[in-house]
Amino acid sequence: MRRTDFILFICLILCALAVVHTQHRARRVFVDIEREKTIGDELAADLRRIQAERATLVASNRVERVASDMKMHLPDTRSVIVMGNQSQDLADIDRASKSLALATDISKSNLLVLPEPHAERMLSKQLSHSAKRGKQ
Amino acid sequence: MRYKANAALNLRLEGWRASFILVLLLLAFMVLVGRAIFLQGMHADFLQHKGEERYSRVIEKTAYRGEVRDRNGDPLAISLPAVSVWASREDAEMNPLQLQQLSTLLEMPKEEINHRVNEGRGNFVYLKRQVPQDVAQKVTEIHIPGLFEQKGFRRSYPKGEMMAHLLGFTDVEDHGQEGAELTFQSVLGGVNGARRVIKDRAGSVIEDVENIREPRPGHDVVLSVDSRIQYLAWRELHAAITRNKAKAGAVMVLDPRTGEVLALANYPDYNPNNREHVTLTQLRNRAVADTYEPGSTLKPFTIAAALEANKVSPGTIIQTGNGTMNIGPAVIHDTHPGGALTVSQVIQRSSNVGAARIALSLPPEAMWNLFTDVGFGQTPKMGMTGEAGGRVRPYRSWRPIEQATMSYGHGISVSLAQLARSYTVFANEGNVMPLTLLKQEEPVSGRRVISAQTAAAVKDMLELVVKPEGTAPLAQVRGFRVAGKTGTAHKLDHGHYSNKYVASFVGFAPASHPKLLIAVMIDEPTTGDYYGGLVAAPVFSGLMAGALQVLGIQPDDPASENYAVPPSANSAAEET
Repeated sequence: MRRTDFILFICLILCALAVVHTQHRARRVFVDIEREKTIGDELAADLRRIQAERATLVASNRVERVASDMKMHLPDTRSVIVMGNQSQDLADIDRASKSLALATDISKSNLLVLPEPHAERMLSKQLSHSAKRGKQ
Repeated sequence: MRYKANAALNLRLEGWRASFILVLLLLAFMVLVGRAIFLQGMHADFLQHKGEERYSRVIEKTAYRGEVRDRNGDPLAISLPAVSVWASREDAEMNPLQLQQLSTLLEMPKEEINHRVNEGRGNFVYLKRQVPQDVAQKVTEIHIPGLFEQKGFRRSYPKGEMMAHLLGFTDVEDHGQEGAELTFQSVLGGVNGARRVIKDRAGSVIEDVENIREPRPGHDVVLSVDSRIQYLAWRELHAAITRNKAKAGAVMVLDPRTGEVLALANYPDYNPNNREHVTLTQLRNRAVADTYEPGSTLKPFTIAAALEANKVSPGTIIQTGNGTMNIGPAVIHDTHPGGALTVSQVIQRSSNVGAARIALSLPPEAMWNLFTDVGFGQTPKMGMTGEAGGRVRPYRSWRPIEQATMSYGHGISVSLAQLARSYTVFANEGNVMPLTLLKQEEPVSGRRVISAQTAAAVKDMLELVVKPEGTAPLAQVRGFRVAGKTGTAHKLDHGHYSNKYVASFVGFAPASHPKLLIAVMIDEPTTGDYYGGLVAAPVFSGLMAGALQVLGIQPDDPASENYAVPPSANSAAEET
């Protein structure tokens, strides 16, 4: 009888210690979670700050200011060739491709072409064709 | 007996004394038991609470306000963490060096800091709110006793003044005060959460006790605005204001197919990130809050009403004679004597006499109905603060002279937003679209106001306006067919028409399938030119060309070489 009591007493002590230990660990883990959460919040705040910063940096007024500092500007409307749709006749494309060839000259490179895929394909065909002719 | 030897031992206490002590002790026990029952049973909650107060705290979980984004997802308004610096008047102590440092960091004069800390009632005083986090960090490093920090938010507007009127702003409590921030407050606003925790001696949280309230962050709002077009609108407006030394101006860009507002810019404007010296004039959202007499931009509606009533066809000849017309004692003038004009030419050359003659052939009710149907006289309900409804008098009280002047846009007042919206009728086959600030994912159905044939006929007339013989060749956009109408209205000054003008232009492109509708209003140009065709049309043209390019819209008139038309001040002249 006395022996059983002793074993039970030891068990009790061990359980009590285990409770204390687990409680302690739980708190430490909790503190860790809290710390990670705080870091998460800070990172989220950083993300917002960076997003805001990015949005400020890419705002059109700044882009234009930087571009003009670099002596860049939008092409003059007269140096823009507007590519039409399917009904565009070949003469127009021919004219455009000639201007494109001219555009390789740096001084006239402020040329902006707004082709649609169809016109683009025709244009590249035309260009490769003339390139072949050039080789011959 | 031994005991008998000592007489004192033979003394007997009286019985009641022992009983008395016993009862006394029992009573004392009962008091203790009673107290124990009281504390443990009846008063337990209170004590438990008091006990918890020693170690448990309610912590607020802050919820972010939603972001405002443009239709392409570009952020327009973001809440950033910020710190409010506050002082405890009883504890705050700082030496001159610390004061100096604090004053530089907070960008506040030393006198003001001293005033706030030393004067006034109560212990708690804010020194500065919405301080950026990095600055707050430096404030902490000065180690001033009695100075504390409180976490909060600061709203940041990356696009600055170019979006000012559209977005509005929030107050220090992060509540919307103007513009979209106010309109969508219920969606954007977050609700802070709260939880009860146990803190240890060092003040760090060691256990969650209960979740009192989950934080509910605000929802993001996606506006219909395209920030690239908005920038173009803002830039063109600023350029025009500078060029014409004008007092004010506004531009609005719509998608006529859906009624979405793609851009809305006003001058004067302000920087929403720094509102210290902002005046009421700068805050004013002119495009929606101000009404003015629209002038000739209203003529197309008169013509549309006449076409609907089958009174005229586009080719009908209207006699405008020598450019004057008497109605009772009043005289209506044209800038150029036109002689015989077709209805189309009345629009193209903006003839007041022609418009008045056509109007007088109509019952007032027909004009009033159309004006009201396209939204004049009613607030557009697009969701902006302070939207004006303008004024259209009931047709029963119209005298002939009033009907005549109203045909070319005098005696009636509209806002730029109303004007822009009304033109969706011509761009959208006779349907007027509701205005909206939110991006629409589904096709929007409009309300039919005039027949598709009438709308097409008026659209053809509006295309003539930008031809060399029209009032606005400067509104042309190379590669595109453009339709629009100029307006040049005298301003009312103390009830009389003065020599101050409002120049406007409303138009859309590509005319074959309108995708963009732009309304421009320039208030009091002072450099000499004041006609809509000279002052407002170039804004339209520059903005339209840029916006069409940004959206990658196919030219509908690619072979045209119409860009280089020399501006003719003569043909642009008109007086309404």
